[in-house]
Order: sequence, then C-alpha cells, then structure tokens
Amino acid sequence: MDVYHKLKQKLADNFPDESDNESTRDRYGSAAPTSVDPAVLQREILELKEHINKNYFVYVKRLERRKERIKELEEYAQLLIKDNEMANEQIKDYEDNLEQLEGFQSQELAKVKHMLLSAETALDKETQERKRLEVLVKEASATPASITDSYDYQQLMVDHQHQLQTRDERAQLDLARETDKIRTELTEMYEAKLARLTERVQQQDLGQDERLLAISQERDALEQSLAEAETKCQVQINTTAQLEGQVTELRAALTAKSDEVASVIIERDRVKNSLLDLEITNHENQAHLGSEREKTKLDVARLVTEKETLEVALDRRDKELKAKKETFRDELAKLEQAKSQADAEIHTKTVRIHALEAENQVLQTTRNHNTQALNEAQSLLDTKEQALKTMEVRCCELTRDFEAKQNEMTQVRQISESSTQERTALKLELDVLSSNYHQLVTDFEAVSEERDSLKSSCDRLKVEIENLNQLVIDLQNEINDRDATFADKVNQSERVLNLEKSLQLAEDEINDKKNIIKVHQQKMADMKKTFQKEMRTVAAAPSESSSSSSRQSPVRRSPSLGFSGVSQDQPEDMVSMTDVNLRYLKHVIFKFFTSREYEAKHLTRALAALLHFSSDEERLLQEHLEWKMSWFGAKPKSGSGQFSLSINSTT
Amino acid sequence: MGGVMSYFRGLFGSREMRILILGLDGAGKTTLLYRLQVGEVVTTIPTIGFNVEQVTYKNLKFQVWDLGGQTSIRPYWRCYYSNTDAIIYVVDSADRDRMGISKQELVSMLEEEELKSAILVVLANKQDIEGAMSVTEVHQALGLEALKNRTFQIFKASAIQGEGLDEAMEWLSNSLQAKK
Repeated sequence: MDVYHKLKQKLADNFPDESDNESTRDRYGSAAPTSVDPAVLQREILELKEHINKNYFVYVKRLERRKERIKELEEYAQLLIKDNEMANEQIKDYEDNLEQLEGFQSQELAKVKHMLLSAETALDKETQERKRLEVLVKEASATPASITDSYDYQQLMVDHQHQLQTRDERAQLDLARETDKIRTELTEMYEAKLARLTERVQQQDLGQDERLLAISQERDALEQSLAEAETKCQVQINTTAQLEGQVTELRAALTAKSDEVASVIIERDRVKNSLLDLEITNHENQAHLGSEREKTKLDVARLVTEKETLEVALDRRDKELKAKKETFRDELAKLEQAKSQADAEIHTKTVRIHALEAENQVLQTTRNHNTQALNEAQSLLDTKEQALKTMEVRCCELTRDFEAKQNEMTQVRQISESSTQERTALKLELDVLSSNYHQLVTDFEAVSEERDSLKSSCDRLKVEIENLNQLVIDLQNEINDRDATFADKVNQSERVLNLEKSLQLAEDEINDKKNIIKVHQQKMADMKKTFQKEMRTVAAAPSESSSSSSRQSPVRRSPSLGFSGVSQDQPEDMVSMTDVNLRYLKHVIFKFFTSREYEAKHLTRALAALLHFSSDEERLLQEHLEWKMSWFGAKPKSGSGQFSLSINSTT
Repeated sequence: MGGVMSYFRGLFGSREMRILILGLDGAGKTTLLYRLQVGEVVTTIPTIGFNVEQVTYKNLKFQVWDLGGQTSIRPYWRCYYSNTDAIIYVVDSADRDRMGISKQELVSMLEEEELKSAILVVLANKQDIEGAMSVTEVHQALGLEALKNRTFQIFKASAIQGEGLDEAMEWLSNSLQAKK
C-alpha cells in the first residue's frame, strides 16, 4: 500500500495539473505534451518498477519465510500431538500394568490367607487329636488291668498311628503341592512381570533412569520376597521332615509297644511297666506335642509376621503404585498442559497465519494496485509517446512544408524578378513591335497593292492552266492507246518471260541469302557475347600462346564455319580462340589416331576443317581410311616426296 | 538378289546406328551419354572436343557421339553431320536465359542438308531442378510446332536421376527400326 501511495504521489508530482489519469490521457490524446519530458517519466516508471519488483521480492521472501515457520510450527504441533498420544498410550500401559499388579496382589493375598486358614485348620485338627489322645491315655490309664483293653488300646493306637501316618502323608503331599503351586505361580508371575518390565525398560528412553531404578528396586524387593517365600517353603519342608522323623520314632515306639504287648500277654506284670512306659512315652509325646504345638504356634506367628511383612510390602507397592500413578497423572497433566499449550500455540500460530494470509492478500491487492498504476502509467507514457511521435511527424511535415514554402517563395521571388525583367524586355519588345507595326502597316499597304497586281496575273495564269489541262488529257488518251498496243507486243515476246523467271529466281535466292545472312549475323552476335564472357574468365589465366598472338593461327577460320565475322583485330579474343582451337585440334587428332577406322572416317571432315585441308587432301585421307578398312582394293595414289599430293596442294 | 544381300546383312549383324548428342554447353550431354552406356552418373568436365561410345539398347547397337557444346567449338558440329541417323538434342530446362540460343542452334542445325533424314529427339533435361521449364514450355520455347517433315519427339528427362531416358531410347529405337 505504501508503494501504491508513493507511486500515486510521484504521479501527482509529475502531473501536478492533472488530478485524474483519464483527463491526462484525453489531453495527450488530443494535444501535444508541452512540459513533461517522457524520458524522465520513463526513468521514473523504471525506478518505480524496480522498487515494486524489489518490494515484491521482499514480500514474497517474507511470505515464504512465514510459510516455512508455519510449516515448522505445524510439524512441531504434530510432533507434540504424537508425543501426547505416546504419553497417553504409556499411561494406558501403566494403568493396565497397575491393574494387573493389583490383581496379582489380591491373588497373592488370597493365597496367603488360604494358606493361613489351612494351617489354622490343620492346627485345630491336631489339637483335637491330642485331646482325643489325652482322653484315650486317660482311658488307658483308667483300665490298665485288662489285657483285652490294652489289646484294644494297642489296636486303637495302631489305627491312630495309621491314621496319623496317612494324614501326615496327605498333609505332606498337600503341602508339597501347594508349595510347588505357589512357587510356580509366583515364579511365573514374577518372571512375566520381569519380562514386561524389561521390555518396558527397553522401550522407554534412557532418560527415564529414575523409573528404571524404581522398577529395579521393585524387582529386587519382589525377588527378596520370592527368596523369603522359598525359605518359608524350606522351613515347612524341614518341619515336615521333623514330623516324619517323629512318625518314624512313633513307629519304632509302636513296634516296641507291640513287643511289649506280646510280652504283656505272657507277663501281666510287665504290662504295668509297659503301661508306665506308655505313660512315660505318652508324657514324652505330650511334651513333644507341646513342643510341636509351640513350634506350630511359632510357625503361625512367623507366617503372621510374614503376612504382615507381605502386607507391608504390598502397602509399599501400593504406595509406590499410587506414587507412580500420581507421577503418571502429573505427567499426564503436564502433557495435557503441554498439549493445551501447544494447542494454544497452534491456535495463536493459526491466528498469525490468518493474519499473515490477510497481510499477504493485502500485499497482493497493493501489488495489483501498483501493477494497475504501473500499467496506467505505462499506457499514459505510451499515449504520450504516441502524441510525441505524432507531434514529431507533424513537426517534420511542418518543417517540410516550411521548406517547400521557402522554396516556393524563392521561386516566386525569382519568378517575380524574372517577370520584372521580362516586363522590361517586353516593354522594349513592345516598343520595337510598335515600330515594326508601323512599318508593317506601310508594308501591308504596299503588299495590298502588289496583291491586286498579282490577282490580275493569277487570272491570267488560270486561263493558261486550263489550256494545259486540256493538253494533258489529250496526251493521256494518246498514252493509253499506245500502252494497249505495247502490252500486246511484250506478252508476245518469249525473251521477256525468261527474263522475268530469272528475275524471280534471283529474288528468291536473294531472300534465302538474306535469311542465311540474318542467321549468321545472329550467330555472330551470340558468339561475340560469349567470347566476351569467356574472355573475362580467361583473361585472368595466362594464355599458353600469348607470344603466338602475332603469328598466324594454325586453324584459320573458314567462312563456311562462320568465323569470318569474328574481329581479327582483337588479340585477346584470338588468343582464347586459338587456345580453344588448339585444344580441340589436339583432341580430334588424338581421337583420330586412337579410335576405330569407322569412327576415324567421320573425323576426317573435322580434321580438314581444323587444319584447313583442301578437298583433294580430304578425299585422299578418306580414301586411305577406306583402303585400310577394306580387305580388297589398291592403295590410293598420293604421290611421293615433294610430288606428294598434299604438299603440292598446300604449296 | 537384294533379298540374299539383306539376308547376309542380317547374318553379319546390323550396322551401328550413328547418333549425335547435341546441345548447349552444360546441358548434360556427357552425363546422358555415360548414363546410357554404363547406367551410372559420372563426374564430368566441360567437353572440349567430343566423346564417342558404343551403346547397346535392346540388341540395337548405337555409335553415340557427344559433341562439345561450347560456343567456340559449336561450329565444328557440322563436321560430324554426315551419315547421322538420329540427333538427341539436349536442353537445360532450368536455363531460361539461353533457351533462345538453344533454339537458334537447333534451327540452324536442322537446316543442314545432311541431317534432312535424321530423327530428332529433344530431351528437356534437368527436370529435377526446381523451377525448371515444363515439356510444353520447352516445346514452345524451341518452336518445335513449326517443324515439318521431321520425325521428332520431345521427352522430359533427368540424366542424374535417370528419368525419361528409357522412354526416349525406346521411342528412338522403335523409330529407327521403323525407318529401316
């Protein structure tokens, strides 16, 4: 727009009188330019063009730069959006992992609870069994005398032992199975988790060291818990081994008891002892059971503590997970903030882009305006130039007219001068003529007198003429009569007829000769022209026989060949002619000697013409050739020595 | 007796037909001669003198004389007129300026007593050049319509391209055999 204003201002400065371009165009269309120089205008227009071009390029560059920036921002926004999406995906993954972990945690808790419950139930059963055993021992102590009772007791004991064994075995199997199951499950779970975590670690950037550390710590804790669970399992296995040892001891005791029962059957006294022993053993068993109970209690306490520790670990993990969640939420919030910021930025950028586009449009409109203004200025310049040209043409015409007028003026002056001179001369002539007139008047008078006298003489002569005419008529009549008689006489004479015939023949011959002469003259003219042409071309080349121009040509031109008309007083023509003739002669002679006789026979005439043979010589040559060609016939006579026919003819 | 003689003449082979190729210098006479003899276009130089070759066309033998057409040696043409059976007059159709000279030479040649019975073939040569005169134009320019008591024919030809030569030789050999 500034440029447009500048241009407008410049135009206004250049044409201060004109407010409108149309008015200037009208003005310059009708009248010639007076004050404005078109060169200056053109220069200004060129400057304006350059200025516009420069500005245009600058604007274009700026626009391109802005477009590039917009593109970069868009790319950055897209990258941010991608990052956001990635973060969202990560959050989702974390959430999924969290849910999985929570599920595992709940499963583990349930398992531990189940294990505790089973251990409690086993403990309750054992206490119940102990109570029953105590009751049985009491009963046995109550009835020590009867052997049958003892036998029954023994049986019951054996049964109880068996039951215990089976239960023990079952418990052992259950325990082993459970421990195996728990171990496998735990190991699987932890391995899966480990694999997932390692994958995640691999996926995540190196910048997330803190997370990696936390995860590794978590892994260490989990491994520790796994080791603890394993140790627990080991402890349980140890307890079962101890129980087995006890069972074997019990078995040994039972065998001893059976031996004792066998001995009791034989010796009742010894039964009491055995009963005492049994009581002792019972006491021992009680003590053992107490110790076992204590041990189991300790185990339970340990399990409870383990549970607590596990709960603590779970709480910790929960906390960690919560913390992670919070961190993820924070991150998410941050990312959302960043996204919102990026959106805002994008929004601002789009706003800026719109602004830039609007600016661009404005610039384009201004450019269009400028170009329009430029075009208008150009058209104005063109019209001015045209007007200038027309003016120049008119100027030229006017100068020409002026010159013509000046010339006319000078001519008119000259004419006027000459007319004045003529007038003076005419005046003089008039004087002379007036004097002459007077003389003529006097002469006329004399002449009229003479005429009168002549008229009289004329009349006389007329009379004489009439007489003479009559005489002529008479004479003509006489001539006619005589002609008639003379024609008759002439027709009768044969000599006259012969003469007329010969005359006609002679006339015909003369006509033929004239025709021939005409043809020869045409030939001569043609030859002259061609000779001149050839001479122009040959003149540059040195003639072979320049020295022989003085001597006579070996081939003289015979009148029959039409050479007589060629100017012999032109030595250059002669040289060229002799050159050509020599070459021709050379060629003909060469051919004459090299060709067959039949062909040579046709060359005799050419040779004769070139070497100017006489008819006898030519005939002799032909005869010789024919003699050479024929198989028969005598050699023609050509003379010998100096009497040779050819030599004689030439000399 | 005459029948016996003609029989023997037929036995020994017919006489060579004598043909003259005439025309102004640069009309293409030498090119035509060697085109007829060897069937090829040869490079030529202006003929100062003549060229004579034997040409066989359809079992007919021709003794073809190509006489130089330069102005200075044109007068020697008449030395070769005797016993001529046919004349092939070659015209440069593209040389409009010298067509009048060509006509004069043709007319003066045909006036010769020795050529009264000779068959005339006019070849409007160099038809391959753009702007060359047509056959009718050459016919008019040479004034051939005024020819009487003369066996003649005009052909358009291009010795370089070999066009129109076969037709001319065909007509010429037929005319010569008919004349015999």
